[in-house]
Amino acid sequence: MKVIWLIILALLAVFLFKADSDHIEIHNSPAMIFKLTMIGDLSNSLDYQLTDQLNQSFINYDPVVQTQLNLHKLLVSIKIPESKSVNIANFRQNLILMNQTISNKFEHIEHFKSQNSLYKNTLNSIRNFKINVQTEFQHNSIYEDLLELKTLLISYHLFKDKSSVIEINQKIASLKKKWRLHKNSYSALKLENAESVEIFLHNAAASILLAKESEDLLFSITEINGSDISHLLLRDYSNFLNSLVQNSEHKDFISIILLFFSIIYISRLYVNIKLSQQLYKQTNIELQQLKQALDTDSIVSISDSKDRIIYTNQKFCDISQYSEKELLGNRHSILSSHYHPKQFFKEMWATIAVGKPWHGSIKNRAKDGSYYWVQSTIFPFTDASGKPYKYISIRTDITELKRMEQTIIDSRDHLQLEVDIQTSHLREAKQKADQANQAKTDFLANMTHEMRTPLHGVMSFSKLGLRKTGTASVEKICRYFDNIHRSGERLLGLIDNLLDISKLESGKMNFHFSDGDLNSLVELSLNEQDARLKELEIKVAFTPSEEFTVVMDSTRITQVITNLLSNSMKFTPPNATIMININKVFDVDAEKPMLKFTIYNPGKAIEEDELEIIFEKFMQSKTQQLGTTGGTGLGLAISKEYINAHHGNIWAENIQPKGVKFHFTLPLSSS
Amino acid sequence: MQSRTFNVLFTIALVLALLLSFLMQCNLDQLPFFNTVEPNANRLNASFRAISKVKVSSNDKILLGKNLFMDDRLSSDNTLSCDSCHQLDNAGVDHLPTATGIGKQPGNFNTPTVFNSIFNFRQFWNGRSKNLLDQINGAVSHHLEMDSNWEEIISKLESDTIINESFRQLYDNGITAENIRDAIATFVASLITPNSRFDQYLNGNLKILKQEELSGLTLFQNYGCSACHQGINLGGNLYAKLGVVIPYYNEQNEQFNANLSRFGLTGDIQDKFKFKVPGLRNVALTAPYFHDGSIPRLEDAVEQMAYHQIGISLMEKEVTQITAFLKTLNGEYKGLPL
Repeated sequence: MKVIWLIILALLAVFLFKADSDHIEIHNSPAMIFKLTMIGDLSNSLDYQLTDQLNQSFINYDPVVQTQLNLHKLLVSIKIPESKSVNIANFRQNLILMNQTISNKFEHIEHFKSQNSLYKNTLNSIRNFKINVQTEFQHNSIYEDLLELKTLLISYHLFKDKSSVIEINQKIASLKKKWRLHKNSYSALKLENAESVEIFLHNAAASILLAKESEDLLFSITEINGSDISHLLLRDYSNFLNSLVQNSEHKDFISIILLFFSIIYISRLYVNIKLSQQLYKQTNIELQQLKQALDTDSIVSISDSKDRIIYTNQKFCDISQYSEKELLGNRHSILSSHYHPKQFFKEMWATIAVGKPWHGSIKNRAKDGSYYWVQSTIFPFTDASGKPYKYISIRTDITELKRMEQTIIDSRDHLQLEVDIQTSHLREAKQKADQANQAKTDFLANMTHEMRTPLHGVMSFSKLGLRKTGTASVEKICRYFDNIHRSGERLLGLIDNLLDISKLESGKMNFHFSDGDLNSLVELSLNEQDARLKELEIKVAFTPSEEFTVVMDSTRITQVITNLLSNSMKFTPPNATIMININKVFDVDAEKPMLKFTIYNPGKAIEEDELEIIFEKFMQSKTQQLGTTGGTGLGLAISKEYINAHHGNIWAENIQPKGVKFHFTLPLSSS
Repeated sequence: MQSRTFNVLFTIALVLALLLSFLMQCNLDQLPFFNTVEPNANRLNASFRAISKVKVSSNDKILLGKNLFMDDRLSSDNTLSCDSCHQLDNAGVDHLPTATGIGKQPGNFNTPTVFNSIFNFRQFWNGRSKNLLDQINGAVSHHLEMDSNWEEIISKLESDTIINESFRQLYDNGITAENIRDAIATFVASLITPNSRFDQYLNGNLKILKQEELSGLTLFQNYGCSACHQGINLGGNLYAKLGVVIPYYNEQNEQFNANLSRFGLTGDIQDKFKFKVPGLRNVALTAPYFHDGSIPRLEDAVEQMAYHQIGISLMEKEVTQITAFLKTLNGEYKGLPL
């Protein structure tokens, strides 16, 4: 259908063009007709001008030359219309004829101008013929004849009386004869006068001839009638025009029909365009709204195939803190946080470069260096061949989500850590319990042994006493009793300790706090152990300190001091000195001044990892176990419980190069 | 909505179609304007005409024409320009009996002045060119003048960037023979010398001519000099036979001069010894005289003319008077005496 319309339009164009070329010819026709008419007119006016030049006494050929020039210009300017019409063929032939005619006429005009000029000169010379002849020839018939001839000539040239020509010619001939006869008899004549007469006669004859010649030339010029040919040209041209007009009328009719159809077509086209414009507008508005919706919700950017940003929405600018101006033309890598490995982006490009959409979370860096997370969907716009030329990426800010996720991960880790710690604590406690259990077993085994030893003493010495009563000396018997007594004491001490422990464990231990002085307690304890010290040959260096009042249960603290003292004595070799000190210190942990008791023995050092264990129940230092003296293993544990009950502290430390120091602190009385 | 729009458009289309068909048939244009010849009012102006100021068509073109006029490249061996013979600062002539062409060859004719040559109805002594454009062709190609051809000249000029640029600015098709001729002819056409004392006299300043000069003018008219030397250029609008009353040639040079005359071109026996009547403006400055440059002095030329053309022997006084009159024909070019 469209093809048909196009053919119609093309036909129309061809017709219009053809009509147009004819139209131009018709359009130019007034000028052409005017030119053709002018050629005839100018040709005629040349005749008039030349006649005028012939009749005037003074001549000026400028107007003639000008007319000739104009005529020539006109002839040159005529363009023969391009047509195969017979009229134009005639027109062309006639135009050639016209050119020949005019140039022929011009040739005649040139001759006329020359001859006319000569004619005018002869007239001038005839008119000027009035020289001294008068005086020279006053009484001569020649003079009369000359004057008569002059008059005749002037009247002839003025009135062009052809009948007088013969008379004049006869006159000239007779005068010439007369002059030749008389010429020599007038020897007195001046040369110039003689010449004058001769020239006058010559000019007189010439004037007649030239007048005739000029007239003949003018006649032949007027005979060459340009206007006749110009009429022929006009006739041919108007015939041609008529055929053109008739033709163009046909063409006009066809043109109008074609125009009519094409206007229908164009109007249909117009309506279609209008409708599609409307559709386009509506689609555009919808697209605009879609874009708005997208823009309000998401961070949108569009980049070209080389990842240069060509569009960003406000949200994009807001979150990245870059202005739109800064972003346009840049790559998205401007936002790179260097968080993701290169492989991540490689994979992303591999996806979108083949026209597939890509989803993923990306960490980006804003202008101020802060980071934000976006959930991004990159959708490639592909051309007909499926090659992407544009990428639109729609992002959602998930920084908050990411933060919360991180918090959850963090707290989970924290919980895990807590659980781990707790577990390890439990494991430790279990270990401890196991250890304690082991210790108890060990203790029981040990205790049995410990209790059996004094009991054996009692048993064996009492059996020996019984057996030897009467036979042995009193001294010996006494020694037996003494041994029994000592064993009993030892057993008692053991049992007391066990009781204390059980009391402490059950929380039934009662303390009787009162103000007291530590120095006296030390002395008391030293007195108690005096005999044993002497026995073991151990010296004690104790200088009582100034008196500090301490709130304490004197009995228990004495027990602690005795405990520590006897403990020290066990590890102190003979002749060595145990040193005891009491001084006031500032306890950093308790943030208050305390009274510190220190006892030093120069014995074997305790292994570092046992420094704390030794204060636990049923625990004995390996060193202690190996020791010769033995013990219940409860003394230090009980001491620790007592001191703790006094809000004090007890600990042990190895002293280089040799020896162990035991310390305990007690809070000073607030008063 | 669609059908209503369609109806409206349909109506408009019909109206348009009708209008167009009418317009096609009755489109008339202004008729061309033709110059008409003005009649001369003044009695003296029946013979003569003063030079009125001529409209200058294009200054750029005149300048280019002048440059070409001065350009040696127009001759075959780059030795001659138009100005070599038509020396602008010598009243447009070379003051030699006959022109000197290529290789110092003597020409056949005396150099006519380029000043006021636009007023001549034909160019060259024998009128072989109808106008200045054609005259340039003749001068450039004649073997006794510049002996060149347009192809050669164009190739020489095309290597000149300045000339090239000038042509491109003035003509659509750059350097062509037509354009070179047009530029030179435009320049030469601008070489007119108005405001001579005689012009001022014709324009009504009757006191400007002295008694002697007025006597000369009267003699000039009465003896019939003005029968040929008339019009705006005092000549230059007809052919006339040299030696009309008393022959100018002897037997030896008769045939040679006959061939130089129009007879050499037309072969018409009537054209024997016919030459274009030279214009007399600035004649006092363009010695020597006649087509063969045989007469060095103006006074002699006047005497010879009267003798051969009218058949009279002028008196010495008359010669002086006519010569005095002829000197009033010296005009001004660009406001300065030539």
